[in-house]
Parts: sequence; structure tokens; C-alpha cells
Amino acid sequence: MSQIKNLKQNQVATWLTSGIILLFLVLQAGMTFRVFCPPKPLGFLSFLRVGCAPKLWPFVDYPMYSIPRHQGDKINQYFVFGILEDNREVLIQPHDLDLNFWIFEDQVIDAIRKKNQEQIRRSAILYQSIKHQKLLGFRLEDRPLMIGREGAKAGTVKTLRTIRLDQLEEQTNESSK
Amino acid sequence: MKVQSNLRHLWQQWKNYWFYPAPLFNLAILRIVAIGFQVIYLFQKNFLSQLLEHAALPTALYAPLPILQLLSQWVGWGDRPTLLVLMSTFWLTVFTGVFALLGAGTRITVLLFAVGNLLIQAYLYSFGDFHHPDALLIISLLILAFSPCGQTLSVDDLRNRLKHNIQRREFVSFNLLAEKSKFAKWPLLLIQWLFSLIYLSAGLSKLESGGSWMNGYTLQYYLVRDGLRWGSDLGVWLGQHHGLAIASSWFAVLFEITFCFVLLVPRLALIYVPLGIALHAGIYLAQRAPFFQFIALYVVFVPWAAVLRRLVQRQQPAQRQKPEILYDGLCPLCIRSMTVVRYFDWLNQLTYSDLELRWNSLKEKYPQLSFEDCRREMHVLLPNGSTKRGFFAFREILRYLPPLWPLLGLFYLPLAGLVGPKTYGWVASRRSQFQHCTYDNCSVDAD
Repeated sequence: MSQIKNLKQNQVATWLTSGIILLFLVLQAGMTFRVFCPPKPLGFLSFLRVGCAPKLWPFVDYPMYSIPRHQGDKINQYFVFGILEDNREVLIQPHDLDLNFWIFEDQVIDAIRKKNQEQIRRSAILYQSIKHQKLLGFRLEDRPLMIGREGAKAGTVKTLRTIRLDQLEEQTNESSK
Repeated sequence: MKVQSNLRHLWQQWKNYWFYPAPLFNLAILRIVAIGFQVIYLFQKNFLSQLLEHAALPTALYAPLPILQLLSQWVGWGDRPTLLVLMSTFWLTVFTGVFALLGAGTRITVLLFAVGNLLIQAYLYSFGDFHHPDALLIISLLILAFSPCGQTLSVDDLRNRLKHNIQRREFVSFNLLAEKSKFAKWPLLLIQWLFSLIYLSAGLSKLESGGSWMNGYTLQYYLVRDGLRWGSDLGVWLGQHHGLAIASSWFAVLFEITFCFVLLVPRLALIYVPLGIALHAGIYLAQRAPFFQFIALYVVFVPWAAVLRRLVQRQQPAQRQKPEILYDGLCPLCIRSMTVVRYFDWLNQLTYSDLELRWNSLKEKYPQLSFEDCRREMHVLLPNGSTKRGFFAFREILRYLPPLWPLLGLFYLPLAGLVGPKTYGWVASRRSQFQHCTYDNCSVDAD
């Protein structure tokens, strides 16, 4: 009797385990072959874009470093400066805001580039609460490097955006009127 | 009818592939490596302070991943977990991780450890950025949770064997390397498949642009960018060498695209695993991209039991004499000790002899031994004809058990030669007090 029970349990376990194997394989294969997230140029398949990473995390695709680069391409190196009350500028780095590199890039650098007012204001408040120095604004600078056969050569330094917080507020007020 | 027969055939093929009996030892090694790695990683990457930092971020930034949303309701995390909940989850995960590593309550502790890590990592990735190195290990932990990974090399298993031997009133030897289960292979195979799919994903995405990814400039770009960003001089230096960048690009893509051949020809792991380790180590040194989890999980490609068996055969030709342990088969504490010693004797280096059964054939060869002495203290007969007893026998045994080598330092401490025998003598003379279970109070039902 117990042998039959064991056999049945074994069969059930085999079926359940097979289900797990299939599920994991389908999820990872779906991410690998971009079934759940077809490339944007395939517009007619856009209805399938339901599982673009990281929606199905920990099942993700691995496209890191996959964008091809060419001779003369620029490596942008962004530097964020805070403008103090005496108009001096201070370099702000991720650790100054207790943020990691990625969140800093996403929440601070991108916010300044895209002029995301809410985010910019939040970054200023965060800086002031940590450093106890009032900020009048931010300046975003790019110090690019150009890739060539001989390696990387320095490009032209460029200020991408200067933002004054008081002007931001005026803009917000104007838009709210 | 034909469809049914084909389906049955397919199902049989499927079972033969995934559920072919395989050594449990290999699976246990995966458990130890994967869980051990993750327990250390939780501290090394300071997950607790990462959780504290993320908990301080404004709720506006919090965009929980779907898996977190799903699990949050189930584990009672609510909309956004509080700091207390996060800290409790972290410590519970560590706690269960240590138990899972040792194989204590393995079924439940591995599951809790896997879910704990899933929650912690998913929470950290719910603030707009996520990274790739952790995903495979998290999936592997979930796979382990559904597998019999605690059926060997675990406290659970050792406890069962001790109970079994005490119930039988004899030391029944066993060989961990030879024990198989039909559920021991699929977790390793599945992780191998996931490795292949993941590398394929990386390779295919590089090939999407035709062959231009391998133009050298691409790799130079990423080497210089990451080298500067994360402070790797090696990355910046490599980024200056166009020819090297072209060669490395081709190597990376070929490796990623062809890794799946290991599934067809497992022996190729001998080439691909060292190459993979070199690739990930190189990527870390040049770009600081830490894929250490991948290196740890390469254990799934090593047939540990077969490797150790081969090692044993090479080290010990059949005719070579092994050290022989003489134990008192009438003493439950001795049976326990032998069970524990045998549990760590993976390389099958020792012979275990019940004094009662062996004495007649021994007394002529070893006239210096007395039966009473042998009953009082454990003896080891060495291949060179000499004998060790008591504490020194135990110390000698340790030398043959590589998994227990870390204890050797303790046994060779200054004064160990004085204190050890006294401690051994004290324990041996009070054997009955050190037994939770004796022949009198244990069940006599043997299987």
C-alpha cells in the first residue's frame, strides 16, 4: 500500500517539478528571444510588449553594453554643480546626496537635462538638508571624450543647462496662473 | 492513437532527461555554494544599509516591481514596507540562510531564504534602477527551494543517519557520493539551461546591429567609460588598444552565442567554465561589473561526486591499505562518533571496524593491543603498523577528512597534547551521560 502511495507521490512530484522547469524555461526564453518585449521597430507586435525588463524580474534580458559605438562617438561625462548664495559653484557627486551612482544619474542628472522641475527641487532640498548650504540652482556640464583608434581624446567642454531655482518657481507660478 | 504514443514517448524522453537518477552530492554542493555565497554577499554588499538608504527615499520614487507587488500582499508588507519590516526581513533572511547553509530544516529554511532574498532585492530594484548580476542567483535559490538539496551534506541528513544507526544498534556504513535521487539532476540542468539562455540573450542583443558591435570602437567606448566611471585603470588602458578590443569583442560574442553547446556536450564545460571565469573576472577588473554570482553558480557544471570518486581511485589503488578505526560497537556514543566521522569521509579514506567482530583477527597481528584498552578508547591502526589511541586517534582521523581540516588547528594548539587526552578520557569514562538515546530507551525497530 505504502509503495503505491510512494509511487503516486513520486508521479505527482514529477509532474509538479516538470511544471516548474517549463515555467522557468518559458520565462527566461521569453526574455532571451524578446517574446514578451519585441523590439520597438516591430510596431505590429507592440501588443506583446507586456514583459519588458524589469517587469518579469528576476527573469530579464541581458542587453548590457549592446549598443554599437563607432569612431568619433562621444563618451559623455556629466558633472553637476550646485550654485551657492555667493554664486560660487560646488561639485555635487552621488555620495553628497547619499545616492548611489544610478539613482543620482536617474534622479539628478536626467532631471536637470530634462528640466524636471519637481525632481530638481527635490534634489536641492536633499542637498540643503545634508550639506546645510542653500542652493540657488544647478549647472550641468559635459566633459566628453571622443573614441578613436588610438583611444579616447578629450572633446569640447560644454555647459548643457543652468537652472536657477527661483526662475523655476516663477515658471511654475506662471503656468499655474 | 499515434499522437498518444508520440506524447508518451516524448514524456519518457523528458523524464529521462530531467529526472535521470543523479548524485545528491552535486546538488548539495550547489546548495552550499549558492547559499554560502549569498549569505556572505548580503553582508559584503551591505544590504542592510542599502535597505536603510532606500527606505529614506521619497515614496514618489518607489515603483515596486510586479513580483514585489505580488509577494507584498502575501507576506503582509503592504503598500510600502516600513523600516522595521525591512530590517526584520533582512535578519530573518540571514538567519534562515545560515540554517539553509548547514542544512537544518532545509525544506523550509531554503524556501524562506529564497523568498527573503527575492523580497530584499526586488525592493532595492523598485526605485527606478535595476541590475543584472543578482537575477540568476535569485532564480537558482528558488529552484533549490523546490529540490531535495538538503538530502545530503546537511544537518538534517546527519541527524537521520545517527537516529537510524542508533535504532539499528550498529554502525551501518554509507557512501554519500553514491547516493542518488531522480530529483537531484533537474535543478542543475535547469540552471545550466538558464546560463545558456542568459548568455544567448547577451550575445543576440550584441548581434542585433549586424557585426558592427565587434568593430573594436564599441568595446573601447565601454572600457573607457566604465574605467573612468568606476576607477579602473585597466579598463582605461585596454580602451586605448583598438586591436585588442576587436579580438576581445569577437571572443565575448562567440563565447555567449556558443555557450549553449555545453548542454549538448557536457564535456565542453571543461573549456567554457574556465573561459567564463576568465571573462567575468576580466569584466570586473576592467569595468567593475561584478558578476561573481555567475562564477559561483558555475558549480552546476562540475560533476562533483564523479570528480571525487576519480580522485579516490587515483589516490587509493585497491591494494593500498587504509587506516583502520576500531570502535566499540556496543557503545551508542561510539556509533554516533563513527557515523559523524563517516559522514565527512567523502574520499573513503578510512576503514571502520567493530572491535567485537574484528578482535579475533587482530590480536595476533597487534599483540601490543589489549581488548579492554580498545573498548576504553578508540584506536586507529595505521598502514605503517603503528597505532594511535584516544585523542591522538581522533586527531589522526581528522587528517584524513578534508572537510574537517579547519578543526586541525584546534587539535594542534599548544597544550592540546596535554588537555586533549584528559578531555577525551573524561568524556569516554562518562559515555552514558552523553547519550540522548541509548539502546535501552531507543526504539529497537530497525528497517
